Amino acid sequence: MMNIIEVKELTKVYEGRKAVDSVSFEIKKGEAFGLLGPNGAGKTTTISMLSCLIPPTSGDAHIEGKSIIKEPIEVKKRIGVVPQDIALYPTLSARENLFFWGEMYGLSGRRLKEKVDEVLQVVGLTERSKDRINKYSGGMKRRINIAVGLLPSPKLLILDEPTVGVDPQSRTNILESLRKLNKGGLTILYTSHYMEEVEFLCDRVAVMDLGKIIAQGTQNELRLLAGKMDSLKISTIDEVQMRLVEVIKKVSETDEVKIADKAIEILTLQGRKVLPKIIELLGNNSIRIKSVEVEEPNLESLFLHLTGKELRD
Amino acid sequence: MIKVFLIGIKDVKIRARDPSSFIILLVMPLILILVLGMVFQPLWTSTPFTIDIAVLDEDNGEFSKILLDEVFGSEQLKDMVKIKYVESKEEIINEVNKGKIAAGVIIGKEFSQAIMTGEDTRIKILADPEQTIKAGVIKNIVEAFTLEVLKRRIILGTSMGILVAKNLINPAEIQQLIPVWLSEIENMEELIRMDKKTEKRMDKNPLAMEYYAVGMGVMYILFATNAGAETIFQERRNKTLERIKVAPVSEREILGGKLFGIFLIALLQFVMIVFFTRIFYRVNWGDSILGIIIMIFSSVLAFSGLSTLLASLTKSEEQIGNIGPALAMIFGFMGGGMWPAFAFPDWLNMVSKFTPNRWAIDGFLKLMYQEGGVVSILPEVLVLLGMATVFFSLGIFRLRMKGVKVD
Ligand SMILES: Nc1ncnc2c1ncn2[C@@H]1O[C@H](COP(=O)(O)OP(=O)(O)O)[C@@H](O)[C@H]1O
Ligand SMILES: [Mg+2]
Repeated sequence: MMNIIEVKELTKVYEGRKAVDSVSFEIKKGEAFGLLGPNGAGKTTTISMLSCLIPPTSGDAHIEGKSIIKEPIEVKKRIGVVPQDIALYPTLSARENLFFWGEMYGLSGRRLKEKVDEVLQVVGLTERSKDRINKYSGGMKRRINIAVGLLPSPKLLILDEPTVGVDPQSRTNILESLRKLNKGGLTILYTSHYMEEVEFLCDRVAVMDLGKIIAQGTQNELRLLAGKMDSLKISTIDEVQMRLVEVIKKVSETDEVKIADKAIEILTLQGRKVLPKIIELLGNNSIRIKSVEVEEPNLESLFLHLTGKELRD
Repeated sequence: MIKVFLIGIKDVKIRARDPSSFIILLVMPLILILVLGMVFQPLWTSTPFTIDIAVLDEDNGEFSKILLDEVFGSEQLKDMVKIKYVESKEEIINEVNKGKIAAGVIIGKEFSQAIMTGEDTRIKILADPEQTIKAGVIKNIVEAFTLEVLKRRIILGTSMGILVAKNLINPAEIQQLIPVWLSEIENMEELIRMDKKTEKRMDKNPLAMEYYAVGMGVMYILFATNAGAETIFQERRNKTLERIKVAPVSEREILGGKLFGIFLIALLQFVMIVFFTRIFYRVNWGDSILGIIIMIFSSVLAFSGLSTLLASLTKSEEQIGNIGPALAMIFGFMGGGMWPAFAFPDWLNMVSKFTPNRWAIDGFLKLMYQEGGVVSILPEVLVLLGMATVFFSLGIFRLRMKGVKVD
């Protein structure tokens, strides 16, 4: 499969500090690629370089073979960008905004009008398109912000945290339309610090922290990286005796067992298989159970595993 | 290139949507012009346009009488030309030096005699160099008068020769008849009409309303161009600047578009002020449509340049929002927006020439009160375009240095 974008050792130094540190990745045609990382990880800086807004300190990236350094205009023609901030003219209507941005991408006449109608349809705001942007809710503004990115019929749509500050319902809406677009063949580079969004939308993910990509792969590959461990958290009504530790370790085939008077935490490869045995064991020892929690590995735990930090601050 | 226009037009659209700028850029100046025009009108009309002259009539002949009574004393001129009769040349020089009169007219002893005998003769005029326009009017009238009289005299001379030769008239009677004939010729009307150009200008007292339409109108161009320049900062704040840069638009086109927007906003605003004052305040901006168009364009260009420079020198929307109006007021007053520059003390008159306002106002007034048309405003237009070039060059240079960059 053809790579739409190839990023090679992209680096950006601000005042001697590497905001983006030798970042490399590729995205294949039709893929949805996630760039996951906490605030300040360098996601926006990376995207700004890819969209030719700021020059990299070193490294390069090619979009359909066009270098972001040598052929910025060619690159710009091929990508649609949805910036982190809502970048619209508040006193112009949604339609007027879309017309203007379409013109900036060289559209005109009937093609422009058709394209505007089409993207309005995609984001579901055809009815409200004559309203001014400053009359819109946060979620609607976000949707128009995304619609602008779709106007140039891009080869690659780059979105920088497009759901920030949006109510849960609009968020689901947005993610679902993006998924639909992706299934329809649109290649997407999606940036977020919400693990769930990336898990929902993206085939492959790069996890970023402090300017570096610390892990990269399909969601399953990354789960493997996290150690495949499921975590079982059992809280009990009766006290758990320390002497049970060794038995539990044996039953769950793992050394990662912690006991703190009325709680047991187990990291195991096969949580669902182990759980009934543990419950049985506790019953045999007359320890009543209050609650059970099973957590299968996700990008959040991966991030924790790799950096020792929570993804969200 | 088309993107330059699209960006500029978009800026105009946004500006037109904004009710506060509608008030600041259109309603305010129109109210100011109306109020200033009405409040100060008495001040302007209480000093009607008159030309004070001193006349030394050593001739006391038929022809000096015609000049004084029938030309200067005619319906058209008698209210404008105020004659003071004096006894000596020294007196005239004295009055001129004191600036009390615009011109002194000396009609020599044998003036009438010389005309009748066909000799060469002249009326002397002493002018106050400070009042060249007024003195010029007098000189024109006198010259036209003498020329006309001499012309008639030559025609009469020839025809009389024939009459005498054919014995149809007694040569002795001729001496008495000449002045009668001369004064009866219907030339007086024509003589005065010949001076219509000057008359039109003099006839029309500059109305306060007209003056302020020009002065305030010009002052408010800078308000409009500043409002345009502010949008450069607004686009940065709204993040739309970044979005334009992410689109396939060159840096040159972006800057060009923003500058075109500044120009276009001010152009529309000023044109609307000209139209509105023309229709509702009956301000006559002059007969030369081409001249008016040229003046509008060069004035708006000069102020667009100034605002571009201002935007390049300020750091934020707030800064330009504070400095801009202050500068507009200072330039407005200094450039003669409140009170005509010719009433300024000399130093201020000099200083005012460093403002585009002064040149713009002078240019428009020329079109309104003088007859020279497009040619007469050439100096003003050249200075305004020169200023525009300098301002734009510096402003663009600095803006590019600062970079419309987000890095
Ligand atoms: N223009 C800038 N000047 C200096 N430092 C910057 C600039 N832009 C971003 N940074 C720094 O670079 C790092 C990465 O920022 P950013 O790319 O915005 O992260 P993210 O989008 O992942 O939240 C942060 O530490 C930020 O403070
Ligand atoms: Mg960011």
